[in-house]
Amino acid sequence: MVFLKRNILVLFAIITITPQIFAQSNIIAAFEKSYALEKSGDYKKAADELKKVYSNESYEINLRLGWLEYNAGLFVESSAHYQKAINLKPYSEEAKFGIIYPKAAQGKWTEVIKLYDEILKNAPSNTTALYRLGLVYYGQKNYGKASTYFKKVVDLYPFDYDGLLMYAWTNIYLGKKREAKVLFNKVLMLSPNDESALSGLKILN
Amino acid sequence: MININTITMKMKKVILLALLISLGTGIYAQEIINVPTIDKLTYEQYQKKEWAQLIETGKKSLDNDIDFYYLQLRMGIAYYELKKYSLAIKYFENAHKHNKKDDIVLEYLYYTYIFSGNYDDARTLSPYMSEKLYEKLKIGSHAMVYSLYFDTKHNFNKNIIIEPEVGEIVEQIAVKNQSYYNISLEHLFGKRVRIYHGFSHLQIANEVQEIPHDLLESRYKEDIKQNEYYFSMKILIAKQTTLNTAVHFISSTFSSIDEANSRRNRPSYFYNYKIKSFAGSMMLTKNFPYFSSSIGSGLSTLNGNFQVQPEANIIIKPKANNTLQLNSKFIYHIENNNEYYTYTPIFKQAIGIAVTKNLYIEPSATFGRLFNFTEYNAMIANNDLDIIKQRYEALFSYNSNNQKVNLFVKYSYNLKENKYKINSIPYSQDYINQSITGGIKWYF
Repeated sequence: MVFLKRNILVLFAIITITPQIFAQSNIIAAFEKSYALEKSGDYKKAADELKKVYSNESYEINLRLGWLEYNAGLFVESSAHYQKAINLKPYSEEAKFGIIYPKAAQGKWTEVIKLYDEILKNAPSNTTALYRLGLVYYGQKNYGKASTYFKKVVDLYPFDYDGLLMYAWTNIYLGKKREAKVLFNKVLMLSPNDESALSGLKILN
Repeated sequence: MININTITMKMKKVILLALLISLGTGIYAQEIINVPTIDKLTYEQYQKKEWAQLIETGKKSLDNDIDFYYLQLRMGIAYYELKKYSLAIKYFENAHKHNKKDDIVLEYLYYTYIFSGNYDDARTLSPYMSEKLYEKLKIGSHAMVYSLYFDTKHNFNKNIIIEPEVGEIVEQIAVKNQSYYNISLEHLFGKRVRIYHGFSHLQIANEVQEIPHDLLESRYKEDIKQNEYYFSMKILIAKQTTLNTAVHFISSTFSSIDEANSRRNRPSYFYNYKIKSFAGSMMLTKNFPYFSSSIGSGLSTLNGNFQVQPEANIIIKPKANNTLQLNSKFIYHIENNNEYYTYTPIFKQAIGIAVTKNLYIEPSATFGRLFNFTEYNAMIANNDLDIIKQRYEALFSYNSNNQKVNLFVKYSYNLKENKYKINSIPYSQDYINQSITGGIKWYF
């Protein structure tokens, strides 16, 4: 009787676990194929491979589909998959940075700003978000706001090329010539003969 | 006129924004066509000002269904920098569709419309512009009057009077002097309507010879004074498509003064009568990247007859801008003089060249018998008694640097036909008529 019971349990375990193992190996195989197809530049086919094993509940598949569809130029679909990934893991920064790609490609800057703000709400010192948000405001000629974000980047990374250069240019537009000069000179310490820094200093002189 | 330095500065900003897409994607090989690689490649081509290559990359990308905001914007800028404004429109419009409030796109699109001659399309962008851009482009600065226009035309005729020999009776009307003055105003209503209207005055002195009768001498002077009012309304009905309707009222007074019986300030006339005429026109115009086409018709009642003037016009712009324009116009003139119809095909060919930034010249030739016909959407109603058999013209148009004043001079060389009778037998003679038209237009 005990033997029978044990056999039934083993059989039950085999019946319930085996399909999951197979399903998991199918997903891994689909990811593998998608990487190979991505490498050859066939983003649509790469996405199709993942769609074969698609699960609405899979953060990983939705995130990767968002990336592949963005590369393929399918911005609406890409945004939808990134959004699903965000819904599944609301604290995910990678999904939020991901959805910014298709949004920016469509020129939806209001949504881009909102997304960066959300990232910074959870991670106020995320320099990538700070720097890129600074760029968005700089592009919109809102130099006051751009300066706020570039300053934070420079505070966190006082000897970083990108932050220093953009902060310097923003200071020029804000009329803060002395600050701009100091910042451009720091850029030259990082990148001697830097074209942008030299042209900035030329304006100041 | 757009400031080149401003645009250069703008470009720097556009480049910076483009980094948002490109960042972190440099690992991809350039031969793979996807959004990051195309973004990176077009960004580099943009930085190096490799406009032709950028366009090529962009086309290749679009053929592979890779399309994004900054690709459209960069392709538009590439065409803009190559001065192919008509081709740039599509790309700026696509970028504008994605983001209606982007001032960079709006400014480029605005000037692209202006430089390609789509002035009314440019006006439709104003609701999307920020206050700063709106003020910068000075769109709202012309309150009631958009422009004031004045022109005058003077003719130089050879003496064509047939002197009768002994036993001959000549019947002839010969034009001796002819002068024309016009003043017009242009108004903009809303974002799509443009109204142009003006008053003109034409004065003609004729030498008339006819069979002597009781009332008149066989040879006398005739004065024609013609007052005209012209009104046209141009509506932007779709993108780069306008409908222009016009009416033209003409009141001509024919008189001959009996000098022998005239007193000071009280002239006595052999005759003094008035004829009223009307002309109208409707024209649909659509602009395309390499050409613009118009189709429409004129209607008129000049010299007591009824005329219909269907016409088709095509302006080919081989450079996709206004620096070179080949303008061909076909008119089929139909006239009913209450007895029979006459059908006259007319063809006009003009070549417009922008010689410098400010100077535009346009020589043209017109073939076909021009008689009782209207031109320029019925703005010019030609009810001259003599037929124009051939016409050669040269237009010189000069714009001031600030684009606020336009001066123009047009020289016209006409081969005309004057009909007359000697002892009731009809004859005709060809003669040369030359005219100079000069005008000025102020934009407020």
